[in-house]
Amino acid sequence: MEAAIIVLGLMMLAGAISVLFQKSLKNAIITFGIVSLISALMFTLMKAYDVAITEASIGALLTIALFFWALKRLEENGYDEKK
Amino acid sequence: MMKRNEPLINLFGLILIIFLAVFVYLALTDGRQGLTMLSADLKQRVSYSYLLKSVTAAGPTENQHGQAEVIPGREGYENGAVNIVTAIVADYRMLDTFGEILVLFAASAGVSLLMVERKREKAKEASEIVKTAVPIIMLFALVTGFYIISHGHLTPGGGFPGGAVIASAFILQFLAFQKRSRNKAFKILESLAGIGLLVMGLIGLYLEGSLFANFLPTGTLGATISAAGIMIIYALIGIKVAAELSSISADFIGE
Repeated sequence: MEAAIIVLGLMMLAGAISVLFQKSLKNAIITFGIVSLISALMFTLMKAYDVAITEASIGALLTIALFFWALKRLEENGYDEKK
Repeated sequence: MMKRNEPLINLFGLILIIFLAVFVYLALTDGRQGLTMLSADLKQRVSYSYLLKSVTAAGPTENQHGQAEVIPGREGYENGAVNIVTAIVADYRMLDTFGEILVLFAASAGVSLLMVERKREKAKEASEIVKTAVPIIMLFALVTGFYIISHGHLTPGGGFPGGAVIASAFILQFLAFQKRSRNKAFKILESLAGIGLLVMGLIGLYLEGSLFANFLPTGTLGATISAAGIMIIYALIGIKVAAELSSISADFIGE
């Protein structure tokens, strides 16, 4: 169990760092969602089921959706990633 | 102007962090030498009374071996929730939860203020598969959300996660059909639920002497309908969170 938690924690760390070095914002948002999903899994392993449900629904769905809508709004207002 | 004050602010932050570290260390050591969190006497901690559901009750809920005795099927406990997280979040520490709800309310109000109503461009229509699948998935999400809210005192979950699941059902609807629900209805529901929560707290203050104290019968521990106060509070929190998150996403999508 502890080994699984350590491996998942390292995966979270790697994912969180790789968010910074993504080429496009869309990839960064999706990687961020993956970090959220792994953390929900870790909460389940640590038997914090209440937190796991909240993290899975808010961190992995709502936040990602809001980020995508914000990105869409930015693009409508003339933001271009390639510049 | 900002530049000159920066070292001062950093120094203040450093002092604050050191103060916090000393505070945490003292709390962990319990006034003795070294880190003794695990060897400290658990019976002196407040959480022990919470686990036994006997913070204000006179009668002991321990057996003769000094072990906690919270047995499903018995009646007359101070707090009727089997799920100890719910017992603390929605009853003993309800004031903190109310603060969290206020934070979410402030976020929702800020988004409505900043996201000015505007005409949305005609978006690309979702595919036929998405349009067919979303109503079915939405039904499952709504049922799961209501289940999580209504069984908050028995199983993991409660108002916050259940409300988020219900809001995700509405988000799916926005994504598939490119039209949003009435935003005004969400706002009215949210304010009604907030007023209901405050009324629950004030009734507790009037009848029991402390804000958000449980004043309803707790029922049989482990029964589906028990802990009436927690059920009502979680239903109100669920409505409020679902309405807030849906209205935030509706504000983001725009007209």
